[in-house]
Amino acid sequence: MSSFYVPTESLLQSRAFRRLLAFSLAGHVVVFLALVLRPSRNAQLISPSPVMVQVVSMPKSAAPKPALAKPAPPPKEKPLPPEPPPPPKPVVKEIVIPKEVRPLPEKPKPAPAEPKTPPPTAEELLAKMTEQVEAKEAANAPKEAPTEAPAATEAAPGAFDPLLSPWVARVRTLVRANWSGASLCKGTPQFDVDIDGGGQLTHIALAESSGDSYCDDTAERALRKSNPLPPPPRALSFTLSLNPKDTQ
Amino acid sequence: MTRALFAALALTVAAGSANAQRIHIDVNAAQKPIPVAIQRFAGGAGALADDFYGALVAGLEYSSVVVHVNPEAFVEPRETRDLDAPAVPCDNWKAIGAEGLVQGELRESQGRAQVRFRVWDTTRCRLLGDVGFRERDRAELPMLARLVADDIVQRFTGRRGVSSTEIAFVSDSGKRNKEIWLMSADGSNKRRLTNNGSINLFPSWSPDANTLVYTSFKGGLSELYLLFRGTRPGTKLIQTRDEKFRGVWAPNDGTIAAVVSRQGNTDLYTVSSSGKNPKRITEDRSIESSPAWSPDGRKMAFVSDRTGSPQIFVKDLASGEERRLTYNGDYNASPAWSPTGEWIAYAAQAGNDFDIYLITPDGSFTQPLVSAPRSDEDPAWSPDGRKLAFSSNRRGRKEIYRVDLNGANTTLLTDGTGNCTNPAWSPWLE
Repeated sequence: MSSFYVPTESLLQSRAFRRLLAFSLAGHVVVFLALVLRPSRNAQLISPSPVMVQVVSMPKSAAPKPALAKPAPPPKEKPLPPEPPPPPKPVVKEIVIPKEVRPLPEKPKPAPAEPKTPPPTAEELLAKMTEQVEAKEAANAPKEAPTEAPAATEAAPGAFDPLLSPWVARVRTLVRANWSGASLCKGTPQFDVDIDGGGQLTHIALAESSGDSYCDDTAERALRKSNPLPPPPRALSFTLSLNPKDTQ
Repeated sequence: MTRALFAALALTVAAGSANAQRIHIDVNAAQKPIPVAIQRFAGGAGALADDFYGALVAGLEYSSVVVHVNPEAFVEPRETRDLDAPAVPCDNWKAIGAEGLVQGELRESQGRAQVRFRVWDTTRCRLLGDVGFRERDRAELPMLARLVADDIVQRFTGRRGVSSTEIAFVSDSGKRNKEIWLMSADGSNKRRLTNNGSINLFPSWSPDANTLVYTSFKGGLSELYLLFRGTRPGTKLIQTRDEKFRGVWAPNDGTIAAVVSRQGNTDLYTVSSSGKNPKRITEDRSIESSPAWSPDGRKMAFVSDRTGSPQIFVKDLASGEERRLTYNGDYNASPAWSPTGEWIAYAAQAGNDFDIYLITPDGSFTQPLVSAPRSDEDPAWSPDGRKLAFSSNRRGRKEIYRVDLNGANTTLLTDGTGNCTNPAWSPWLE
């Protein structure tokens, strides 16, 4: 046992022991500093910068919807520009929400969030950009803004306006019910029609003949007999094709 | 600079939206006839007016394209008040669903019935026709009404109605012989035209509807005879000793296609309506029969067994070119070229029975028209090309039916007239 005992004083006095001690101390210091100063992963997640991007994108997805519906799209878009700089904290809270939802399945949350943002197509982005520019210009020249704004809302509800679908279905049913003598037809007459907001046909013109004037007459009678049509969501122009085949 | 750029972008977007703004609506048809209101004609006394009105309504509805509006629904008077009024209250007619209005005046003078009438398009409030007085013997009042009806149908459809036409046919009428008969297109007014106690077959109309050519065995051999409307006696068409099995009048002139057997070879010939100037059309050793003229008289469909079984061929009379039309089935016969030129109707064997089919003259499209149990044969077109008559034994004995071109409204025409075959629909009578 004694043969293994080494008195401290004698160790401290030895050079080798001093070197070892110095290395050991230096190593501990390095490890300590490394542990203390190394940035943690959690700290990265909490960093505010990516959060800012995500949150700004949320209102973007809401923007195109009001563009489809006529009533009042602009109010929701305007609050956006002022927001970006001020509130970082509430933004962090919103980002935390997806984390809480995680336990449910895998990545369902990010997924629904994404499709909302990507859809803004080139047209929508352009529309938004122009709106922003217009908003800035509106501050300088307020009289021009109101005339340009309605033009944008009129252009938006086009062929894909979901509000028109039920109305189109009603028009189809009504004109079909009023079309007599279609057995005369071999071709498909087409009419250009203007309709006012009350459903009154203000203009009916044969755009393309079926090749048989008597067939064209049966189709025109069907249109006139159907006048007034159900009131459309707004005054509009449309092309009506009358196909003699009974496919319904 | 930025403003100009964004203005340009906005213009592009707006232009795209403007193009998309005109929406397109497709409407499919419900197959319905055109509803027309008929005011009873002014001036006609009780029975005269009733008879005329009934025949007029029936004649209109025979077309299957026009239907009359029930007078109970009228807001306006049921009888014509002022035939010379410059306008009619179109909205009141439109309100009851009428797309047309017929007004008229009827009177009887010295045994003659006279009628004049006007036809309105009430949805567009336009006068479609104002027809001056027509007249017929009082006894022919139903025919007068049908002629008016057919005229009204033309105002709405572009083609005259056919309620005033007639159908010739063959009937054994309870006896052992077969005679040529005639009836109105609705099956009424049947009368026998021949009474020779022999076998008489295949009537075919002249373009003016005044003469029939038909086949008869009354002299022992199969010969072609002409039968004139009125009192003139019938005459033999061709004086040669060859057997003649069938004659078919060309639709546009006095030429008659004849099926003639010469030296044991049956071929197609053409002769004039006086039986002169015979011209051989086919020269094959096989049997050629059942000629059917195209409406312009330049082509002829016929049946030949040159390929081993009866099939339909089409010959261009100018170039002489012949081509086979039917390829499906082992037995295709009785071709009938529609007056519009669009279709050739024919009878196709299916099992032990025949069905009636339509095929385009170029053979590109075929569709069944009548396929009831048992046999449907002998298709014959109405002059407007919207209907066909045919014979069928679906009820046991052979009878004549009519059917619309779309396969609808099959109607029996010869109930109780024996076995009836070979219908031939007349051209318009005037």
